Amino acid sequence: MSAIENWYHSESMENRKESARRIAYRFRQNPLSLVGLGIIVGLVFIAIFAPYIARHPQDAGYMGEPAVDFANRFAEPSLAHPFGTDQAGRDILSRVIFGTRYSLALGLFVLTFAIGIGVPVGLVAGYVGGFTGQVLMRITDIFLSVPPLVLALAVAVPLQPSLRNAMIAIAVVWWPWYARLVYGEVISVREEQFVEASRGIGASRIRIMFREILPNVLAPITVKFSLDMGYAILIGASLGFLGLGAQPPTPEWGTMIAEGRAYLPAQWWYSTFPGVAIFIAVLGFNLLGDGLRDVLDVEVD
Amino acid sequence: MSRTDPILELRDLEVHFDTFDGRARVINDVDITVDEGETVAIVGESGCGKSVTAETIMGMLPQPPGEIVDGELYYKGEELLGDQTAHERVKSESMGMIFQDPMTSLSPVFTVGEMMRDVLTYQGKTNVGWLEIVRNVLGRRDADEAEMRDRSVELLDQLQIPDPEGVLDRYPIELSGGMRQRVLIAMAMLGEPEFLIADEPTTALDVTVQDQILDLLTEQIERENLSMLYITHNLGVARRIADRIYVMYAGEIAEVGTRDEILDEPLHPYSRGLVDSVPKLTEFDRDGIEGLLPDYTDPPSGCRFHPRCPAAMSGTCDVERPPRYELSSGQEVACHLYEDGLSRAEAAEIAAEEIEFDSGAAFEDRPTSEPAQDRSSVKGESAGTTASIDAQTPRSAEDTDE
Amino acid sequence: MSSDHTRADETDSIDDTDEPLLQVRDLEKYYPITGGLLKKQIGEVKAVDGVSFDVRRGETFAIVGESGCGKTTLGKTIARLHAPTGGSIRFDGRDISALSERDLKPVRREIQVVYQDPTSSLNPRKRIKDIVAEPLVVHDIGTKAERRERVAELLERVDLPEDFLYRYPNELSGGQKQRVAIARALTLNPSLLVLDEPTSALDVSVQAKVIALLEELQAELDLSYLMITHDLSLTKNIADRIGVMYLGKLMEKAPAETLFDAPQNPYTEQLLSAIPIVEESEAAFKPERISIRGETPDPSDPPSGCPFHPRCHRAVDDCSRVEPELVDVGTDHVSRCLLHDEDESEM
Repeated sequence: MSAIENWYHSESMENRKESARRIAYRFRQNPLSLVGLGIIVGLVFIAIFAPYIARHPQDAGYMGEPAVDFANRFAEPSLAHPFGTDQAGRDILSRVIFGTRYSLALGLFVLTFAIGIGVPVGLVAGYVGGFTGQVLMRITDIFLSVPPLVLALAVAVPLQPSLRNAMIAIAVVWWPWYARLVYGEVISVREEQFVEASRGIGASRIRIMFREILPNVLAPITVKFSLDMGYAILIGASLGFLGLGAQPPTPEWGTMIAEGRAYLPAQWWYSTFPGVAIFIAVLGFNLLGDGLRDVLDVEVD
Repeated sequence: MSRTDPILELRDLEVHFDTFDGRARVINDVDITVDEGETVAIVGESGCGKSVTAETIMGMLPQPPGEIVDGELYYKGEELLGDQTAHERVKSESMGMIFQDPMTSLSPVFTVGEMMRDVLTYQGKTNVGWLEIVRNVLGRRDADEAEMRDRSVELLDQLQIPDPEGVLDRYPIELSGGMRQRVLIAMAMLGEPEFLIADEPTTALDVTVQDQILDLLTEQIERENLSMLYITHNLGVARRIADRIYVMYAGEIAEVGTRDEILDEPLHPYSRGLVDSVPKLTEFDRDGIEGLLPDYTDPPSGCRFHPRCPAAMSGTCDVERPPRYELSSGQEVACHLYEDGLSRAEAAEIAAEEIEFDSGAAFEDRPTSEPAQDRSSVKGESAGTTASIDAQTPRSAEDTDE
Repeated sequence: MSSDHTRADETDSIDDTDEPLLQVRDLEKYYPITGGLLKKQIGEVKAVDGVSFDVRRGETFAIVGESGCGKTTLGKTIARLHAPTGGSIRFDGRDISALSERDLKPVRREIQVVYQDPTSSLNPRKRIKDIVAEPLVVHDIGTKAERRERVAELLERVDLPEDFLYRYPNELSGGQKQRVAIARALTLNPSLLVLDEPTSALDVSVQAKVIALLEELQAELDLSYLMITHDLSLTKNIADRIGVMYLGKLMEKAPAETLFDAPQNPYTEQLLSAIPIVEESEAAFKPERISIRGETPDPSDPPSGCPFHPRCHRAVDDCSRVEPELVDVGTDHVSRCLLHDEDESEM
């Protein structure tokens, strides 16, 4: 068997190199997607190493309640505080840096939840079809017929306003989009003969859905995941801004914008920099998503 | 060239494609002549470049990624490849085209009658302004309208379409495959062409329908004294329709001869392998042909067929590209086994002696040099290329037998 | 494996009295046509309409017909990828036409399908080794090492190099992919292969080798083939017996030689007449040229009487009214045509 092992390694290494080369080539065709990738990598790095990057981690509530320093309130952007300080004298740069953690966490949670629910629903509805499929997709349609932000608001309002509940509210809104996407993909993959061939071998429905069909619909899910990260962050920030998400003094971007709104336009830096952070994050995920869409050659939406 | 009056002459055509894997040298030095009133078939397997050749003649080669590197195309003595306006004019005045899939050539949102009317209105015009189109849509004269309709009905009738009046008011989707193909032929005939190019027009059809369509085509050609270039992979169809046959392999012409010469006693090892492999009512040879179509970005030196050829002579075939040797009968074979001026009998003897396909090798359609790599596996790099030019274009070896 | 003892069977024909491997009787597969908001059934397509035939052990039975004749549905119904709406399918002495998916699982080891388009029938996201091993995994057979060994052995059997194990389908040529599909079908040692146009997506030089492989495998592994195809010339070369289908019905059934030498049904005559021959020498094997008209009608609205009468060159008045039955016209030779009844009464 060692010969086979050898082959395995040589072959797969060769193939891996080859496909990596192609992917790199496709990415190069679309330089903006590389910018997006750079932004995302940067954001993740910042989120992970926030305590070491931020000059005043305690201002963002690192290891305890956010510190206050009223002597220093509303300091204009300067070398000491590049993004200025807020009404409690906290360093906005440090808070924006820590905000990355909340936004990424929110996006990840929401989408993991949405994919966890939406993908199986779409798979079952698409492959099993019939009455079950109809019921599942009609439920999905009901969710889809209400604008997401409105629905998220409707879910968030009765809950205690908090970051966690905001995440739940958004996740509830989000899964139907994945159900719909996967359903559409499954409908076409289902007709491929390898699905029938698998049935002819005696494979169970579960096996066919998850082992045969699912790998063939991963590409659009990946692209949508990337595109959606931006939107999820945006909606999370919107809920924060409306006071339904993370509560002050949590350094969440939307919450910070809402807080700073009261001090516009004199203390313009308070709302502006968290806004710019949202803009960059959303842009980054969108650019990456677009690039992935080209690389994986899929249509989403 | 001993022939007197070619209506179409393609000389030294070389077409390259830019792909992700490099420059694919697809068409290599192809010459094709079609005489007045003659039907010529180009036969070959998928990926051999027959459709690229047809696209070049029709002026429909997508450029880029394709590029005509060299070659001339003479239509009644007028050079077309160097002069796009002339090409357009000749195409619209004198050429008719029939494609494989009528559904993609017919617009689903217009009725057959509307499409035929438009062909009649705009044929021969290479440059139509918006104003003219609007004027035509708004104020078409009834007399013209009736005349066009009559002409359309007449043509549909010639193509044995039952109830031609009714068909004019129907959409393509309401017609059967055979009817659509007939409509397509009728539309190609509307412009009263002298020269038809047909690219696998019966491939998607059932045999009984194919039989009818071939009958109709032959009939039209005889009635109007047309010349035709017919592209097909089906040797049986080529026998039904062609006077002369060009066998193409890997972007080169392997052999040219009359229908009977090529099909009853092919001389080129490739043609022989091809003809032998077709299941026949008599029998067929299960040995097939070793190997795969070569990678066009790195074609074999010498004869492009030599890596798969059972009669290949090392030192010759892998070094020197065979010229087209002309036998005394006029048949031409691009193979080092032969020489100029041989009689057919002599050539046949050589073929019988030298060409022996055997089933010995275990991994017969295993690539000869490097493993087949599907370039379309990561789509897009040559997206324009592969998608738009159809399966006949040079993706690479893996497409050989699809 | 059962490779050696079958060799002898090739020569002494298969007329031992043992029961045919597959007996299909009056098989029907009707599809409802629904319409309107309430999806009410407004009609049905008789894709397979009362088809009966046997596949004997070790033989190749071919179903020939044009598009829309129901041949593919027939093959898939027999492989129980579809549930029949009527009739019976006896496989190895047991009626499998009404078995539930669970009861079918052991049957699936015995009947496997090879599809027309290997690009579609192989999962593009799986390596060849996983594709070929899948039947073993599904049926929970063997240890990992045993499976690996079996897959390597199968790949060798279909003449593919071992290093293909770790490739993905899109790295293979069409002919190579079809060999993988054949290997997968053989994994569980089936006794019947349904070959659904197994070579029509391939170029002829590749087709020839795949056919050679199928013939070899049949002899070595004692396989029976139900081959579905539109290529009459091919069936003449490889089939033992042939059934000709038109609009869901079997029009004629005969041993291959008989069918080509003395076709009895006008539809078979037309099919033979329409074959585009390649070599002059083939002409001797074709009937007189028949002028053919029309195309297969819409299967949801078949003609009355004999389904073929609107296109038939021998049609008489009665053909549009009376539906002909299959009648014996020779040894192991049946045909569906009103003219046969007349012949008989004349005799």
